[in-house]
Amino acid sequence: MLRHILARLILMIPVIFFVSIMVFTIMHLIPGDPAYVMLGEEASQERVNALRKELGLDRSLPVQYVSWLAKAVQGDLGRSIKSNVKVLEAILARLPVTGYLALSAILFSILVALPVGIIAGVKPKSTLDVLGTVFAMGGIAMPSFWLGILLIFFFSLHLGWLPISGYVSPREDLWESLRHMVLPAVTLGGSLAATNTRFIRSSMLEVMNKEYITTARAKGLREIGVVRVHALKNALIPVVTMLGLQLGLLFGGALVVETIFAIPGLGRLIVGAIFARDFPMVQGIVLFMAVFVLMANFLVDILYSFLDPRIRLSR
Amino acid sequence: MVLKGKRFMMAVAVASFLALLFLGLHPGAASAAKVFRVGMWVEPTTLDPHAGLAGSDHDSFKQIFEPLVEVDPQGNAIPALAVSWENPTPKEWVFHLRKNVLFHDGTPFNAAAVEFNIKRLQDPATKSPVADIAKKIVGINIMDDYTIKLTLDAPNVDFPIVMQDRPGMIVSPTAVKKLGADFGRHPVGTGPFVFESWKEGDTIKLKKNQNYWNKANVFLDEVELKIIPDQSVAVMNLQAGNLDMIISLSEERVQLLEKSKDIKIYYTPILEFFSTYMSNIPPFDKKEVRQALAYAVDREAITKALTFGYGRAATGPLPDIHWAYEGNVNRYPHNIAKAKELLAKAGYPNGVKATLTTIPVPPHNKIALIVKQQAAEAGIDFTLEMVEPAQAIGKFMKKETNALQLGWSGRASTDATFQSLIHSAGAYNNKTYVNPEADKLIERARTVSDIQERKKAYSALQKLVADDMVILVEYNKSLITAAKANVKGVKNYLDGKLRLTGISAE
Repeated sequence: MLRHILARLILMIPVIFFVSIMVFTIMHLIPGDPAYVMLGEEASQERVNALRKELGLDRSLPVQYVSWLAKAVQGDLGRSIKSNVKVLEAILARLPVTGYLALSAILFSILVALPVGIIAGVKPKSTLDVLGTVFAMGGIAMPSFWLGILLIFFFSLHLGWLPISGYVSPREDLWESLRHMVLPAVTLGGSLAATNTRFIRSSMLEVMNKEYITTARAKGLREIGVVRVHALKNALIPVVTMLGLQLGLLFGGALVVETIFAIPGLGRLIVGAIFARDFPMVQGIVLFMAVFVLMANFLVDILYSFLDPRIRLSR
Repeated sequence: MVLKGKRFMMAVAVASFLALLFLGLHPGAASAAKVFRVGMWVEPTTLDPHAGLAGSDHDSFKQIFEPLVEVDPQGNAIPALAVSWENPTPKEWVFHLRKNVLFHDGTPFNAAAVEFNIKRLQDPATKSPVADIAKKIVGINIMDDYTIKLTLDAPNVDFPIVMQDRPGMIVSPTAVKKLGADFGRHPVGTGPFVFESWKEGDTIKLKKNQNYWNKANVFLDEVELKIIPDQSVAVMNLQAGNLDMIISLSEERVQLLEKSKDIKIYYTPILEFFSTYMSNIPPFDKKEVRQALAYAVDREAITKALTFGYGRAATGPLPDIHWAYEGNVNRYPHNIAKAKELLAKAGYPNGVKATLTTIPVPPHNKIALIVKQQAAEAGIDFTLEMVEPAQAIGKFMKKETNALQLGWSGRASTDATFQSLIHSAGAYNNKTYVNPEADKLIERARTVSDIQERKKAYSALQKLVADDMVILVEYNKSLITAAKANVKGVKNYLDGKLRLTGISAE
């Protein structure tokens, strides 16, 4: 078991390394020089050159990369070209906000996907299953920015039930914080809920067709007992893995949701950094998130192997 | 508790619905005492006026800091921290400073503070983007506590206007010495509002400066600058009453507010404009061909299509509300036949091919497409290419393209605009237009101090620029501000920047 864990951890290193090269290369391949972006198009060539030198942009790309990576592994992600704040500090300040949003989205998606997916899986082709499928397809197809604006328009502007936008820290005012998080969570969790519904449904379907279910029924167990005692636990294990994978996807969706709902999280930070060609900030955030998602998936995998007795007992 | 399948579902549905309802019906936090909320869609990079690089920074720091000289909505220089100024010799300027003004931290404002500020700008450690403008001040002479003489490296009649922008912003010497690099996040100035707090990515809070010298003209007690990146969401917040004002609204979004009875829309053309620059390589080296393009392009139609009624077609580089504007110039009304005639006269009876370079950013790319289409009707066949701004300008300067569809962000100093774009030695002209007559007029306008003489020179210059059709300006950008009907005193300024003095809300 321990060997397995160590092996997994070591395998992460080449992945992180690869991600770092990718993000560095892409940022430097996009046309647009941060010095120009910062000084504006009307800056004289001498000023642009002077600023480039200051920012270290006049060195060759491999040199810049190695210099950046060397500091990054020590925990120094550099300073933002735009505002001169420390990248790592900026990330850590905004991480809880995006984390809060992501967790709320996952919670919402589970609250919806679990009941709908289970029922649909247990009673396939029933009215409920069909309705669930339609809702799932819609959820996956709808772009989040459209869904977000639609929800605001209906629930905030029209009905006045919930605030339009903004973020309130749970430590400041828990109630207002939750109210402000409802629509963003629904928007971000919407397509997630749809995907998870489909996944839980097919997982349940598969499990319900297994021999041990037939055995359980033959033993005289009521249907609800069959579902709860035998089917559910087995069906939900792969769902746990899915959630781990979805963490990475969530971050992408968070960008849009944070922009629409004016939430000061990591997503907004990286969008601003990309427009400003703020290399250190973009590279820092992508690297950080890559490590974060890898660690999360790693932990989920460990959890998975504990949950599934077949894996646990086979070691 | 065992709930059978369907009932379980129902229970979850009902519970969720009740939860949402409950959340919604709970009374929201009671609104604080009279806070004026402004929606902005870009966050400042820093609140230190000497260090920041973004034009959008001004909307925030202009409430906290003041310059020596301000401008009125027509672009005329008016007193601010300097009550008057003289130009005893061409290179010398004497500023008489306002007395009894305190910085927000109690430091007195005086000539020593002004000297500190100018030196700070010139200091390489500050890394100020306007350092080279400040370096044009080669001599600082404190004559007494409230009189300071600045000597320039060359005469410039527009120098007071220069001191209206970043180089003239006055920061508290005490605060800078105390906070160092942190000053940008804890700004201290002399302005109408005192900085309270800045929640990153979210809100900047200000409160009224009770010691402000022009306190009578400040009607807001507390201000919140809220950062809302999505304009549709900002508009909805305004409609719902969560905001009192939104600045820099786009033309498409403002249409959503037209029907709202309790929201007023203010729009003015500002110094920024969108234009087609033509290079003096064939075919646009011939005046007739440039004029042909001007007749082919229908500026009124372009303006109407792209600004939804919130813009005015331009006649030249200056907007019509500018003090130096001359409207009596050749306006080239849309006329395809005339365009073809001029092309033939220039030696291109069968039309001509040219390249038009632009950037993939609206409205430049949209204007370029319309220009291409309209020019084609007259026989000017443009090949369109879209590149990054820095590349676009580079190509034009190196004469690798015939025309550049871009624009000009505008300068408070009229001289700066004409010098850069029209003067043969201009930084952005790069010898694409050489006319000694134009050079003479520009030089005259910046050396005479009598405003009527300057107006005459600029008037002649604008007529010349229109005749020679050096720059085809399609329209000036409109600054659109939306505010609740109970907000009074909203004024749009030519530089497009927000100033909260004079604004009140019942």
